[in-house]
Amino acid sequence: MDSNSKVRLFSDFTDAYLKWEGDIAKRALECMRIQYPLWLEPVEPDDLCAGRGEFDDELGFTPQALVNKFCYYFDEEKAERLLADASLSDECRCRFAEIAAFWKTEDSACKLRKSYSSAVSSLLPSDDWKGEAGCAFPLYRMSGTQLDYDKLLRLGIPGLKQELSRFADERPECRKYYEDAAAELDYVTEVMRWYAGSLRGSENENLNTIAGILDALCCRAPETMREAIQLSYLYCQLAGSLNFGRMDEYLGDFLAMDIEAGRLDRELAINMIGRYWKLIEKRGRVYDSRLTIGGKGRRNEKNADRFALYAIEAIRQVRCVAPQVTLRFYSGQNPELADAAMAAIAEGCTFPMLYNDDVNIPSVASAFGVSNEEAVGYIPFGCGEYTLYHRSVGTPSGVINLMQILLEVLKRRSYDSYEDLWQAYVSEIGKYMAVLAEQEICEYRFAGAAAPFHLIGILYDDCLERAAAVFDGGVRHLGGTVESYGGTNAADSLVVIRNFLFDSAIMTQGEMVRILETDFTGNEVFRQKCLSMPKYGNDDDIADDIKTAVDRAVCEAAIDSGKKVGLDSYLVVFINNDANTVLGHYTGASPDGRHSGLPLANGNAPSGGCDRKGLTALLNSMLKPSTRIHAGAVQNLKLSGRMFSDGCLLKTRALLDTYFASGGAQLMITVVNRGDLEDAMLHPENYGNLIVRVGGFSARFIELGRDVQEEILSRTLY
Amino acid sequence: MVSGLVFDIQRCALHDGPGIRSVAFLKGCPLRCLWCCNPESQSAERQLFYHSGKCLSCFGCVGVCPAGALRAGTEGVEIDFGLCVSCGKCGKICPAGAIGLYGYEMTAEEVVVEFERDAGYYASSGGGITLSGGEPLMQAEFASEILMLSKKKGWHTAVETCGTVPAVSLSTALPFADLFLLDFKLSDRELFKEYAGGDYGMMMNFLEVLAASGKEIILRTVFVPGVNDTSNHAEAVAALCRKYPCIAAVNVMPLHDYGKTKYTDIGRPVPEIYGNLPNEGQVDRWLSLLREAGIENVKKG
Ligand code: SF4
Ligand code: SF4
Repeated sequence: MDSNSKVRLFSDFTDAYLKWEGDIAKRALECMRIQYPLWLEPVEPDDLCAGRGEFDDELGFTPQALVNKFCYYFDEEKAERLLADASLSDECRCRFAEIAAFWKTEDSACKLRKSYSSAVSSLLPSDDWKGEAGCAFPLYRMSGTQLDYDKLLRLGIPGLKQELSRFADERPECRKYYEDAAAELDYVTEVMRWYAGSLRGSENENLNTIAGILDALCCRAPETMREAIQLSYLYCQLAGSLNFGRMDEYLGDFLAMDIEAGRLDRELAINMIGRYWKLIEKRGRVYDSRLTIGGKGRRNEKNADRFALYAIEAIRQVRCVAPQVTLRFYSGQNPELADAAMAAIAEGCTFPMLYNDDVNIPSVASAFGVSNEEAVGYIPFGCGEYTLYHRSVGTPSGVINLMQILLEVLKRRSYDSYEDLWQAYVSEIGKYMAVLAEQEICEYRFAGAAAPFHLIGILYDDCLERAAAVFDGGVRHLGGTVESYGGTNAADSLVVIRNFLFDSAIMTQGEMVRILETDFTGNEVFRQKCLSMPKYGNDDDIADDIKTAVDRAVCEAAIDSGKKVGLDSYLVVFINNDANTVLGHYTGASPDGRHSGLPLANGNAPSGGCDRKGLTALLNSMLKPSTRIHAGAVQNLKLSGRMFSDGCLLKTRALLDTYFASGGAQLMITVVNRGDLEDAMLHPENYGNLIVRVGGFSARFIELGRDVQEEILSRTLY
Repeated sequence: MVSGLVFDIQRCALHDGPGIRSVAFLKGCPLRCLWCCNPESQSAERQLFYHSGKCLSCFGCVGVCPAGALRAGTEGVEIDFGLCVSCGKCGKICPAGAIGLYGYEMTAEEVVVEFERDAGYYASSGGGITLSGGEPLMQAEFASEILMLSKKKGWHTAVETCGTVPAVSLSTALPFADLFLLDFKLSDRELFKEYAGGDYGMMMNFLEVLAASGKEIILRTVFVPGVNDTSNHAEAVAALCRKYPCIAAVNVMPLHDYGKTKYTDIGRPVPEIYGNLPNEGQVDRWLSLLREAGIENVKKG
């Protein structure tokens, strides 16, 4: 869209926003109807279906924009660029200047910040976690919704509308709620017709087919896998959800019917799924785009398994960095799924990621405070945070940097004993957790008051029964999560602190602080001593016990804080994207021997290069921290290709099986060879297909920043 | 409590017997093979090492050495290995782990406690524990005790041996070992003396006793081009396999030089023989020679 048209659209958007100020449902609906031609992209000739788009414009409305913004968001930087655009007419420029001035303070994140209590404002003074040092930061987003696609596909848009009108008849006092929800479904239909209109009569057969599918979906529920994909994909996009639920369950029956009817065979089906992966990848949300296959609790296990197998085969064929395909498994599951997954991983695919139901179901039950039956519906989203499938939300709206907090505690005052210092550390974590939990609930309240997000609520349990918007009392389980980083470095640092300052008292706290403040300059000898102390990841009880204690402290602080603010759960996640690297930039030298500015350890992994005792020792260490007190801890494992060679494969399988049988919750395995990585840093152009898992997301190695690449190289390869 | 000198325990070993294994490396070896990849294993005593690459030139070690073995040099520490009395003081003070002693005392129980950490992996993979070295049977009592305690735990046990120890050393270990990885380097009495410094007759006697027990044996044959890649040697290996049916397999271990820095670290010159490493083609040719000689179960590794 050209810049002048864009400004006119923003003008309409802003007018609608003001006009419907008193009716948040109507306001959201009208804004969505105005903005869709901007953010939705045209269908490309080889796309499997319509509906791709991204919220990366200057202004818009969505649960989670690409930048750290939500609801009615305004991107100032982008707006400045648009204002400077030479192609703008004078009239449009003036109008946009007005619009920008208005949104500068009307932006939801900005308004949210203004609503903070003084405690929250003072401990979370900045949200610029990518540009400033800090102990904790808020994140603005309503992310991690996992919709009931099964229901969507069973009923179709017309069926959902009927359901709403039945509700409206039964509960006339809530009629407006149901009518507003139905109006959002009409918006979906409107978009389908708009797309169909743009494609109909095209010379390209694929585009014509899509037009036909969209037309059909306006009037009925889907009948084929392709129709089902189209509807679920478009709905997901329009609802502003970024995750795709238990896909094998909701597409498995369609696949079976297509095969039965001769519309698809294995090859065609895999090809179609592969095209779907490519479409998802095109949007580029590598931190999100989660979909789950396998696991307990699927109503149609046989058909779902078939879809799951094809989905894995499609990964092998397409080799994409999104979607983040996640395999849940349990003892007794069809072994073909795990076999296929291992074969894909052995070939260098980073997906599927492996999630062990036998551990995760009881862990989630305990962490979320729900029954095992309910915990069967656990599902990871984004970088690995668990929610309950279409029953809970748990948006990660805060970041805590445990290493930074420890450094501040160390600088603040002197301590008589290790216990004294530990207590100070735990209480400081608690202080930050309290405000993070408060900001989380503020954010939910803000979102609940800003818009009903009916497209989400329609596919969430309880919202319709309660006639309540998802973030305004509708969702059954209102949880929250907080991303925790630096815990491993903090634990390794505490080992050094305890020994150097207290047990063997070889130096004073002041000396240690001074050396850290100068980033060990002139004190390499001391740094080496720090490095030589026990480190998490070597099955060393001293280091692992402290890591376990740090995990417990931060998890319990979150749980307590969540209770105090009235969340159904508030849980830590030890996930990772590249935040460990970004936060590390602004985190000073640490007593574990880490230089200032270097990455923090990643997920639940040891610090780079610190695991030296072999794979079993690493796995044993990773098994020690409790899985029952948080909402997901990413366990990365990088294995060399030779682990999957004929001679080793059975041993590697036994290794992984033992880890899972001993309580291992998950693994994200990357198969790479050190030679590949080093060469890739020299000649990135030759490695377009080299995929490396960095924490909870997968990306092509050559697309990662230099420091991330170096961090990967520094991690031990087995 | 029986104790002995260990210089390393490796976990998650995938190439020292079946399944996933933990391997304890015991110090001391009667042989002096010219190609040895664990030169630090040879001496039965604690022994000084110095990794120059890790040294920070703080010279803390120089000050504590009671023997005057260490001197501050322009590029790190200058060492007179001959003067070292293995007191270990330098290793205690070194911040970088750059200097210290190879070999530390452990009781058999302590070794088994370390092994125990990976017991779950042994069970699921059909793995177990392996004693290597050095020559583990140089510390026969210690080795036997570890094996016995491991058997009590129900683990599969393996011993990697050069076979050049008195048969009596074998007999104490024999009841508690399931598998022997026998390093069979050279089949010529003279060459064995020349290249490995060993007594061929003693090894043959060892093999005789071992084979009589019926325990499973895997022959590990190091492949050193120009030294033992002869058809005579291939024939001899084949003859052994025919003679002793308990030899279940032959593994060819191509010569490598991964251990070369360890020589420098203990003050020894890097073996000249490392100048002639085998390439893939040579290894393949050697493998086919062995197969032609009639050995069925032979592979690399
Ligand atoms: S104490 Fe260690 S680091 Fe210092 S000079 Fe000696 S060997 Fe080098
Ligand atoms: S072990 Fe003792 S004698 Fe040998 S170099 Fe070290 S300090 Fe000197």
